[in-house]
Amino acid sequence: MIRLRDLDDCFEGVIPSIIATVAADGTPNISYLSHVVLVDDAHVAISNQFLAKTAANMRANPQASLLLVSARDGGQYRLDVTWVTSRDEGELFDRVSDQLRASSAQVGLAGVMRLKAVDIFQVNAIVAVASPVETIDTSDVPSTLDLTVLGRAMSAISAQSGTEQALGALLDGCEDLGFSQVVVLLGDNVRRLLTTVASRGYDRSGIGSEIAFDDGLIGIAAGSKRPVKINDMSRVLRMGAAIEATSDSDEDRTRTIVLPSLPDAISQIAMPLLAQGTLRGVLFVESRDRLAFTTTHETALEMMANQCALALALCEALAPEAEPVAASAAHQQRGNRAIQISHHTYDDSVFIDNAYVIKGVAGRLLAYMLDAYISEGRRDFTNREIRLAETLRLPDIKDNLETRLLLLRRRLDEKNLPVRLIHAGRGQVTLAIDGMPVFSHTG
Amino acid sequence: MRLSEEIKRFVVSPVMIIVGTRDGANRPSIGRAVGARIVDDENIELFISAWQWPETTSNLAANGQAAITFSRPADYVSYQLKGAACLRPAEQEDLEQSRRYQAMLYAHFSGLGHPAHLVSPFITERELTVARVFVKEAYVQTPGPKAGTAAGEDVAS
Repeated sequence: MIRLRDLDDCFEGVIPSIIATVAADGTPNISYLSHVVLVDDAHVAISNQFLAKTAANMRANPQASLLLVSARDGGQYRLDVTWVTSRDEGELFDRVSDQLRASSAQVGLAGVMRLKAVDIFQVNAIVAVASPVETIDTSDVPSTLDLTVLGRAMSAISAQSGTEQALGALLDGCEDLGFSQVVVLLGDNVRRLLTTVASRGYDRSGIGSEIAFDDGLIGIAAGSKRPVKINDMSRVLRMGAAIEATSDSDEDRTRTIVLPSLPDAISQIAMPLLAQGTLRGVLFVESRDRLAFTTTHETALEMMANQCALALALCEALAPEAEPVAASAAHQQRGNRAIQISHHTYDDSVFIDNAYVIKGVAGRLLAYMLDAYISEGRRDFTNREIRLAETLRLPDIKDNLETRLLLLRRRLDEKNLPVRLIHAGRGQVTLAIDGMPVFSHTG
Repeated sequence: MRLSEEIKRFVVSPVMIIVGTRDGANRPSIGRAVGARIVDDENIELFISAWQWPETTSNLAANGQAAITFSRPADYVSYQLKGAACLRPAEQEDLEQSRRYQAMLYAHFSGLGHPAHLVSPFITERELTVARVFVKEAYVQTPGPKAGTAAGEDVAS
């Protein structure tokens, strides 16, 4: 007997599904469906966007037939179903709506496809349609995964005592699952903004790049706190124009770092990092393979993402307990070259020797530490004092200060700047400056 | 109704053809056709595998009521025709016409980058049967605000 859960890849929206209904006078009607959603072992739902005739028929005669096609091998399945109800709110509606928004946004049609309702059907029978050929699964990705691989990744993430190591273990875990292009973004729930803090598998790391909540796949995952995925971008128009080579001079001009991106990605998934229901960030994974993210892979990534969210939360919680360090006795030898530092207060962007470094909260943090260095000669800072610093005035900074400091440290390293941050133990950082900083604040 | 020239051209191009029917208890069923032919201004013929879609052909034999969608995979342009069908066995000429359609469809999908093994399960000429459909209604079904509106006719019937 075929079970609904065996038809996993029929629910990916890769090959369109079809619904047939019959009007009260016996006239049949056919409609294509963008998505059929697996609800539970006995129910499916369809997204009702343009289906006026189908909706009217179902109310007159709830018997319907669905034709689903496997995206892996082209196999066809006929579902005899009975319409149960229509919903325009609730968890299922929101989930389908978010997925639809994400699919549309990712192909440059944001706002075009708006969900009116989801129709829920009871499934009475599932029949495999006779095939003239033996169906062949030539997908590049196995539909199952080894639980021990996931177990190792979960253990590795929870074993880490530092933010950087926890993020590293998450990237390793994704790689062990077979995913080579991975981005982790830090979430700012107050400003509704995500910032790239770690990535792997791209020419440019994109550390420090930003995307707003509800913008694209990543932003929708953050805004909705739900995973969203696309498993076959070749089906629809792709946003080719968005992928252009960028240079450092573009960054200096626009004060914008470009998100890492795989130009020929076919599958993408964005997974919220949730700890105690609070969004801490988003894990984004993409692949050149079709159907890279089966339900099993999605579940594995979700477990790893949430494990990492807990690890990050614990790192933040423990960081302030670190004892303040005594001021470094021996000042590092430093060059005499002047380092031009400018801080633009309107967006907190910081430039070092005219090169754009970072803006926003991370920019304000950097400016704060450089100010203290110049005015007081201080190089060592603790998480605890940064949290208490009144000049920073940030309501949310205590929740993710460690991650912000890591992001800043990586960005400075990557830009190979004469100003660096050094991790000096839990909850402690040290400024390393090769030269004489000269600070200018502008509006 | 008179079929527009645009619809006549469209239904014989490499488009996916879905046939909706219903049984005596008004339960719907879905099948596919492997090609179509324009008979005249009001009638078309569809080639259907009775082996793969037995409910479709038995429903058509019993009551003839049919809804047929023609949909172009490249851009989802779609039309739906509704009417009354009667069945006859396929002859050599029908088989040849269906094979031309099959070749065209494979080429079309190949041009879109879809591997043939995903298309083959849809395409069979086993127990090929011809459904002649007298078309009574035609609708635009391309996804979007015009979906479901009547498709234009060349001359009012």
